[in-house]
Amino acid sequence: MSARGEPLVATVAQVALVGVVCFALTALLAAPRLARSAPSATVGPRHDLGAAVLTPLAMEPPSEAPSLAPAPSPAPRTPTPHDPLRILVVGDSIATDLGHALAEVAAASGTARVVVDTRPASGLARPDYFDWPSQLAADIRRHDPEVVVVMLGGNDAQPFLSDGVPLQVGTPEWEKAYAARVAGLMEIARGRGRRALWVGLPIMRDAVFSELMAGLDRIYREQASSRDVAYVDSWPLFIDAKGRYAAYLPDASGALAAMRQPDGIHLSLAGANRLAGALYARIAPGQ
Amino acid sequence: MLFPTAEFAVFFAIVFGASWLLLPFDRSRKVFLLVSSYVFYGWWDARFVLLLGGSTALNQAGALLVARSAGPARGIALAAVIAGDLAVLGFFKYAGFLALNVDNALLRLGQPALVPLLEVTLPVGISFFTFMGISYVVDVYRRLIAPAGWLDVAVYLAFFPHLIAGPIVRGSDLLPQLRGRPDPRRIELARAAYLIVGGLFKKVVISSYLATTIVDPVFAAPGQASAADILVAVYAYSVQIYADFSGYTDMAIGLALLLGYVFPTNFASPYAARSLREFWQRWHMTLSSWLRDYLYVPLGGSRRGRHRTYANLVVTMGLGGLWHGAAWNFVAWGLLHGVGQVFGHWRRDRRTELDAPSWRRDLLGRVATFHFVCLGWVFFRAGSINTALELLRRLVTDLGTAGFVTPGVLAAIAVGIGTQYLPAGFAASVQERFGRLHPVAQGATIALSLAVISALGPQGVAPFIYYRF
Repeated sequence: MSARGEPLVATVAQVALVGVVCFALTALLAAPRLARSAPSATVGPRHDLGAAVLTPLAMEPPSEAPSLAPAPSPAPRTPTPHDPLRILVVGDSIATDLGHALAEVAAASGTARVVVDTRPASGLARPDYFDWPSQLAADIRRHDPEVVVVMLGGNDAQPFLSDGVPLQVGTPEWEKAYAARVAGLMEIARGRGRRALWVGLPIMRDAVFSELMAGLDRIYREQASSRDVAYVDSWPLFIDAKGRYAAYLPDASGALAAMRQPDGIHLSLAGANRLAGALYARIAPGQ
Repeated sequence: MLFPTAEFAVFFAIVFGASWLLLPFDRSRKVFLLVSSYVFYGWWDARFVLLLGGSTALNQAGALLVARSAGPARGIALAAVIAGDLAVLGFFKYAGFLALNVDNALLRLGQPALVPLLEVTLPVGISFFTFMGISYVVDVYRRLIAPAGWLDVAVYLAFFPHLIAGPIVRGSDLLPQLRGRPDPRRIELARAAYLIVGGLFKKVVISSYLATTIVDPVFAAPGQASAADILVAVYAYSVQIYADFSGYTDMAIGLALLLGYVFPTNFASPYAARSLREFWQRWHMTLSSWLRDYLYVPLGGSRRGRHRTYANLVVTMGLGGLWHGAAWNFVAWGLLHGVGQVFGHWRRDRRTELDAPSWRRDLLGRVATFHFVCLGWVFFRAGSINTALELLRRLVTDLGTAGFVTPGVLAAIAVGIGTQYLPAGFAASVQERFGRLHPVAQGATIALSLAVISALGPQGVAPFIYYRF
């Protein structure tokens, strides 16, 4: 407190008044942003309530959907250091670690270059929160990749609305609707003549979550096989000799290293390198 | 709960209201603060609360035992408590690291990996409250303070503003405040508002922006970054970690002020330091003073001759590095600072006369110190020593075009460094002007500032860097 004293201190009542005014104004000013993120709440009563209360307050015009004109397909060729293979990696937060590790592998090879566009908490289940089909199309137009790598699904084991009907995880209707979304994204990735790879989800430390992810991997594998998309199975890379979740495995130098981050979900540096190595071997065999 | 979230705002509003309403009922108020701190901590994981309660019990029982013992029994009691504290910290934080290194050493020798590799969840804040507990018991042993009551000590250790990432508050700072009662007519609102809004700005706008646009991509994939990218990314990280950590402690100090408690400052324009010794008097001040008082001085400090002093410096800084994380790159960072401090001591020891003050020497000192600190940050931030070395190698070899450097990045770095050089009365005059406003205007000012911060910052809330410790 300064020698001039009084303006720098306040009573509890004054602080409370400041707080109330601040809260009220902040809620009003933040309404548009909250309205955008209210849909990110899990589908159900909280989601509907949030959307109902905040949308009138937000008074924002609806955003325009981007046009999805198909991009021209790249011509086949042998990449060189001066004209490296253009690889695009998209997906959620698990894909972030993979994308960066792949960038390192590509840089070491000298004949490939990786662009990473990944968004935490994203997936295919909630296009109202983040719309991957539009974003992927925009990325393809912008970067003109020759190879597209997709890895997501960690956030998709949740109910979603399909034509206004809520679908529950594990039901045949949910699986059918989700498979259709996967197919749609694969179509965009594959384009005309572009190579697409879909990386499956690895085993998780939590058994229940692992089961859910294995279920999603079945859908990815099925959709990939009928669309000439390469499915990269990450499951075998992160299990021990008995097929269980392995927290520690030998890294590239042969020393034991943690393969996952403390949450038992995301890949550690060593784990991402392991997966990226296998992925790059599929993309550019012999390099 | 993370500070800059809506749920924390609601939580804090409740705690603020209830704790001041309970002012006439001192004991109930402190019980309420304790319970709400445990609720705050338990939000991450309910099991953590048991750990915190256990650590509190260990340290308070130890302090009481030390105070009631005489002669060699005092030292034995102290050693037992410290051993207990370090064992808990060691298990949760370092057991995996130790096991992994032992196993790898065994494998290299052709032996089987015998030590089981567990995956232990690291409770947030454990490094902080463990250090606070140790400081309390040692201060009782040194007869600097008398042991306080169980409730006061429990609140001291668990108090939610400092629980997750400091400042590391000494018993001698907070226990006397807990013994008394805060004054409801003299809440330092202007300073609290300045710290909270400023802290949020630093964290949400500066730190998160630099992290996502340049630091994370370059440090994660150095192979695709040019020398200019790496240079700017290192500068950006130095600003990012300062903005993130000082932003957090500013908010912690501000929140404590609103509840009527004064925490020590933790940062004082560290990048304006003219030497490494000065840097540590300005960066994470509560940690460096803890290391000095509870590690460096017991090792002998600078009282056992030059060579022992140098050794003590390296050991203290190395362990300080290890405190930050169970990984070799943190140890490397610490050792680097230790060696740097030794060099500084050696130069000062060789001086035969005091240098006259010179702005040239000051400028050179500031630039050199800042760059040495940046070198350390490369090891601190890179995921491994190999990555750090790769970044440094590419910094001098790979002169390509800068893909990640944008005007926005440079502006954010300039703002970050600029905050180190604000004129002396700046904070005081801003606070005074704020203080003269009517409360409604004050509320509006804060709300508008929050809206601006929210608009400038990226979507979503990234956890503070230091909360992992």
